[in-house]
Amino acid sequence: MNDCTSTSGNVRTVSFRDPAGQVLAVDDRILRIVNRSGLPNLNSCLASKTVQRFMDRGRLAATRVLDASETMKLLENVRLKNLFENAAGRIIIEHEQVPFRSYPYEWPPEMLHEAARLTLDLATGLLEEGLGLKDATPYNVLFQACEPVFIDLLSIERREPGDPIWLPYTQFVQAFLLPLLANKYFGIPLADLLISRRDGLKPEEVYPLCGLHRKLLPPFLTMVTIPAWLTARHKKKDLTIYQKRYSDNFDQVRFILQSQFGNLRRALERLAPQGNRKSYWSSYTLRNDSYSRDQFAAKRAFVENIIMEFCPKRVLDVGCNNGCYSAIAAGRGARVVAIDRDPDVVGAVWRHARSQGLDILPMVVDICRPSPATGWRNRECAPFLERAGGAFDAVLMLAVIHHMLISERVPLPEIIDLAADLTTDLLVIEYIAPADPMFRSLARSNEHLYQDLAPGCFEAACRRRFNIVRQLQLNNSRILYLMRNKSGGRHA
Amino acid sequence: MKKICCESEKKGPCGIKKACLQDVFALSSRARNAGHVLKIILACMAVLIITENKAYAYTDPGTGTLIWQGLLAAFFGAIFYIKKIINLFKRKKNGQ
Repeated sequence: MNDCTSTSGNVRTVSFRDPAGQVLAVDDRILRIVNRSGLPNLNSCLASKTVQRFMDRGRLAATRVLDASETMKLLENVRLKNLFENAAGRIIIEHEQVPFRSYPYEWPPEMLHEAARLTLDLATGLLEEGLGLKDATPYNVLFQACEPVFIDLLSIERREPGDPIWLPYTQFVQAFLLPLLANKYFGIPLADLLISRRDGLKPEEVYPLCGLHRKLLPPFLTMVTIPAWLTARHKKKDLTIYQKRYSDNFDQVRFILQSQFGNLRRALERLAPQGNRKSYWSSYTLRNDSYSRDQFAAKRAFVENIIMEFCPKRVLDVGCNNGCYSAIAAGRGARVVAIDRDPDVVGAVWRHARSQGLDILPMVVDICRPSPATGWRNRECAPFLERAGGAFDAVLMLAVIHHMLISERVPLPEIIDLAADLTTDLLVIEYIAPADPMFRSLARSNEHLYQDLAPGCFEAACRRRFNIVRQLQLNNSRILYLMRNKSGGRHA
Repeated sequence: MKKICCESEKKGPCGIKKACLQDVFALSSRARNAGHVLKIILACMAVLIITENKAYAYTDPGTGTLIWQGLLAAFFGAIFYIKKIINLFKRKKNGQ
């Protein structure tokens, strides 16, 4: 499933690739027009026990078929009626909305691995009922907090019982396994691989990266070397490999497919990201010498008191690092999106939040270089700032603005404007003076550029968009502020 | 290899039973054979890699993986029948 293609009033078309139907966002609802060609598969899908089981566990987006009266009422909207008629729609179904959309290039490897596991689980489960998946792309999965949800119901189809080939096998290998492999063994960030490649990596692209010994050993041998060699040897004009071959022995076909899914699962488990990955930022908060123990406790208490007092519903934690403030907000019932540029720390936040059952969606996003619009006509996946704008009633920017000011050279008023675009109400922000050791270490010999950044200047820049509610001086160079957006006001 | 075995049989040293020694040598011989097989496989793979032609990822729709999947399907298809035959034998044996 993709994102927006066009907007009119309160109706926005969301996908265009599937010939069996079209997804629409109507107000806050996700609807799908299903045409005649999609109906048989949809009926099989809705009657499936596996589908029901996955829906009950929240692993498949909950779906209901709208009755005639609801459909008629919706079709009073002229734009929706035109779309329904153009798509030769027969019925409309409604999917449960996932609160915040994230895309594969914004996931740490742990999340891509979990999305792959869900895809395989679903394909294996459906096999027992003679159903299968038409495609195996990570874009069929969104994350609700830390849990993957399969969203593309029309990807489920009735299989030819004698067909021993699972066609999305190649797509699964290229979109899930090879990016995980390139990330695990060569340290290539998933964002670098997936932002410009919708279907992931091909074996021939990984092959030149491998040394001789790797080419000969698993998992490279079967995932990279042999397929690359077979591709090179295959005569381009020979199309016989694409011809369907059916078997009369359905038990054998089921055995072959189960064995192939088992094979893919073993390959996937071999590529599971290591839990003990460490980067410079992994233990940054813990070894941070910018605060004493008491100051750190005071900072935690400042944030905790705000969360308890204002009870924000949707929180964005910018530069979340180990996610301790995200965990405080999620522990008080907020739905949190935690972003950081480092995939290793985001992976650690995902593991921790998942083990604790916290409502945190961790994403690999650099706030200074947020994910752009991607896909066909830049309309398939919305840019991060478009999804995040006004979507939060509290934004945390703790120990982060000096990185934006110095490393990225973003002027302070720009940072404050961005914060005002993101939050409809609260901003908790940490001021860091140029005298701060971390500030000086980042600025190196350019300290003179920031000499005007006194607390007074900082507050003046903030007052353009925010009212300062309270502040806490942590030490000589760090001050915490609670501010409220002047133009936002609380979201319902 | 035979020669070594014979020599060790003659010595029968240090209280270790001759049969036991023979087993050890048989095992090591098998391991060496397996080592040879592995070397041959690795050599074949090395030839395979050295003679690798250039493939153009941009224009190829994943042909290699599709062929590999077909080969795996054929392999698992054969395993299905082998398993069936083994189960048949097992059932007969249990019946006896």
